[in-house]
Amino acid sequence: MSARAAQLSTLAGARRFMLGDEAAAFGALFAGCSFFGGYPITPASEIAEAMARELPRVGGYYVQFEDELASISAVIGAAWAGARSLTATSGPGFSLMQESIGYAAMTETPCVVIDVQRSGPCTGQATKPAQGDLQQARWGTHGDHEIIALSPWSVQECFDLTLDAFALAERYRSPVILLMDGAVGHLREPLLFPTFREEMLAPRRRARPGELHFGGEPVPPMAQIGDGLDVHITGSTHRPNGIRDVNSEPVHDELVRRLCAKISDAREALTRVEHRHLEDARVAVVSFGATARPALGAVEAARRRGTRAGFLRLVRLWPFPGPALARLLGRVEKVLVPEMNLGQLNRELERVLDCEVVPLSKIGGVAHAQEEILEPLLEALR
Amino acid sequence: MSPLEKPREGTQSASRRLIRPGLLPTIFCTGCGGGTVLNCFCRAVDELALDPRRMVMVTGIGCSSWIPSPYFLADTLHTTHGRAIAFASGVRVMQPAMKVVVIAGDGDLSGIGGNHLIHAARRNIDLTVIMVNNAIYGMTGGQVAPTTPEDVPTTTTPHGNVEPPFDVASLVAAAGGTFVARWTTYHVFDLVKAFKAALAHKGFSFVEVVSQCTTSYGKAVGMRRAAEFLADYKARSLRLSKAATLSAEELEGKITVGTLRNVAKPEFRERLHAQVARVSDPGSARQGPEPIPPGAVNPPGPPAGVARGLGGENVALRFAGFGGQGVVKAGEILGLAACAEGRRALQNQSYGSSARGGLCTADVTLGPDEIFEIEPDAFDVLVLLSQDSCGAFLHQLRAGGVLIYDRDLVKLPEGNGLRAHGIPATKIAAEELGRKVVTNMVVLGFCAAITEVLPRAALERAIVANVPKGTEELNLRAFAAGFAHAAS
Repeated sequence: MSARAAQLSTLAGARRFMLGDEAAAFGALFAGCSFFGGYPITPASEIAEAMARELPRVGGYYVQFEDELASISAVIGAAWAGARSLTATSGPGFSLMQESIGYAAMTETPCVVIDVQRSGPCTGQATKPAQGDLQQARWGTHGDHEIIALSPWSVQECFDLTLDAFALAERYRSPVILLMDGAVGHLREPLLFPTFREEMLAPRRRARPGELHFGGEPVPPMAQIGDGLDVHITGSTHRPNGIRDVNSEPVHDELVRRLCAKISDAREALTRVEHRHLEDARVAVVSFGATARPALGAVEAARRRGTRAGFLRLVRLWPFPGPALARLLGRVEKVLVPEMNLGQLNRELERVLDCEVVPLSKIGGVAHAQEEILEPLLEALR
Repeated sequence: MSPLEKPREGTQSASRRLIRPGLLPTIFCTGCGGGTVLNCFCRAVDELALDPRRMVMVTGIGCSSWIPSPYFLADTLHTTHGRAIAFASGVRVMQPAMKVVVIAGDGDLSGIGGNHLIHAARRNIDLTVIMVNNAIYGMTGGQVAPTTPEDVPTTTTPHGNVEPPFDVASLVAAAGGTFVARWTTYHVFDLVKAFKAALAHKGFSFVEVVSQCTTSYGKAVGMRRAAEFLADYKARSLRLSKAATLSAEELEGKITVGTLRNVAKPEFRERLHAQVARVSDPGSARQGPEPIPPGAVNPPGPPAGVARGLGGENVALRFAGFGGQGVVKAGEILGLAACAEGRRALQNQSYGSSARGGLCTADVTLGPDEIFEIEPDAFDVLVLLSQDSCGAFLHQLRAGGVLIYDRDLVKLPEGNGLRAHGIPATKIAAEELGRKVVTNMVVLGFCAAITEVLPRAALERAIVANVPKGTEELNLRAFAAGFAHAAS
């Protein structure tokens, strides 16, 4: 039995009261994470601390680097050398990592970046939660690209979605963002551990000699460093054999369109939303992450008063599940959008829905109270 | 295949065998030092009989990064500007059997990537870094670099450079690099020897190669031919032993060459791997997250406190005081006990400096129902341990809620009409138990008795599981003292 299986099997079925940050770290361990490169930052430091403690116990390597630029770079290097690799940060660090997240997208490097969002811009309210990185996760790096981003709303989901993130990173050979927020990261709730099985380890499709590993199919197999295939990995525009070619229009066009299409064409398969009471809903509350908790509370409270309120939350944020939302919300008259930013989800919803979309933005570092959503919801239902 | 690349039986040079097929001629400008570096490097690899399949070349952005990428026939990671050493560090940790080599320029390694350079040297991570120093940003057209000599006019110092240059080899030696050498492209035999020594060295090895840029730097200093540069390097180079005998004035404008440092020190990757091997050994003691006491998990049920008129199905409690009173610990133990009891539970606390000195809170919501309020602002139970917290939070007590407070520390407003329960918790901790630090457990015991929010035994098990080893008995006595006070 591997060190990982030996350690994690002791947790089978255990119920633990833990932080969202710690739950994410354990999700990474179950997914086979073998390298963590990080730099301390509130409110993500508890992920690094949990990884520093637990990762060596399953035979993996934790390194604290000199900054976030180095952390994400080492995470990508480690991935090419065979690791399932992870870094965790918050807004300011996430901003610093953007260039190399673009490198990971361009070189099709599977890796997971956790951003435990805090109040910005800049240093903002460093210890307070926010959801202001929704669009940064999508558009933070320069140039055309697609990204996969997930958003947990509970401690249990911090574990579950981290596991999911590693699998998606390998499946699509892409960086995957776990967009947590400080409210969920710093929450303690019960976490139920699953029984560890080898199938949970994110599988990597490897290239055989002669196979193209930077083209030829939507998601090509990966040739790792050390495989003896003389792999050439570059963030510059490259041909399907990996060799740099920065002057050819068709080479760039084909590469970047394929990189985008491999994710955007899988939009439906990648869609994960959770909803309640939409069958007869007149007004729906649509949210994500921590904010979806008081949002659902408000919808349930409105329902108890005999109203036709509905609820939907995005479990996966990017690629944006526009078609699914249009289907599920096609009959509602109005959508309310509570979020801890000034309308970043609202903007996307306006783009894909025909009905009226009303922002319920809140900033300042305090999550929405149920009442703050219930009141406008009842008003809208009147 | 171009005629240049046609392999000739028996006469193939080391460079030819180690270069990726189909790519010659290189893109380097006529007279560029990059070719000399590539040749010397291939010679070193050949003389050491290294298998290129067991080597990884990591590079950044700039002309010098194009020396190995894509020419050298090995796994190659051509990275972002400045980050080659950081990428290489990730590779090194995961690939202990391979040689990891960074070849990049002076701007990449000592400008934008300077922080990674000094920290990799400090760690003494087993990488070989070759810095090709042409004293300018060449690929972008000749802008000033951190290595450009003073007064040199560049495209971004058209009136002359007013900054002194870095002595990068000395910087790396000072930062902890364990093999550090500097040569120029004039010293090809010394370069091969230095590359071989660096590749054979265990730890952070660094070779600075002073190299000519005939295009951009040549334009700045009026030298357009490689031969002029090489003659200049020959004239200005001084062995370290000779340089040691000269004054600073005499060394002005000279290039000191030789091995600046060559020492054996513990290497980072080996130390890390040894630690992981030790910690992951199944025989090693496991210290996981705080365990939930075995057998404490019961089917979910309504909190007992409902019987005492706490209202609603879910119960929200806030412990508030100042940092150091153990407010957060009390909240954690309550949440842990609820979790062990199979209840839904959610706990939140203040973070940052306030948690360590100023106003400090820990909130716990328990219940049979889904918990929607992740940051509650109204509470069924409010526990106040300081006058400041009373001022800040008293208004958050729900109508009919229970107020618990330290009688000696909190003076409640007159005629408040609250269901208030006072306890001299700090005094009990200090005088009856001899340790003020257990005030939180006295309060928790009192709160448990008053509210019956969770069974006493569940809380006691959570205390045992969650307090430092050796202090369980003291904490349980404090909890019991608080519990008993409720009956008095």
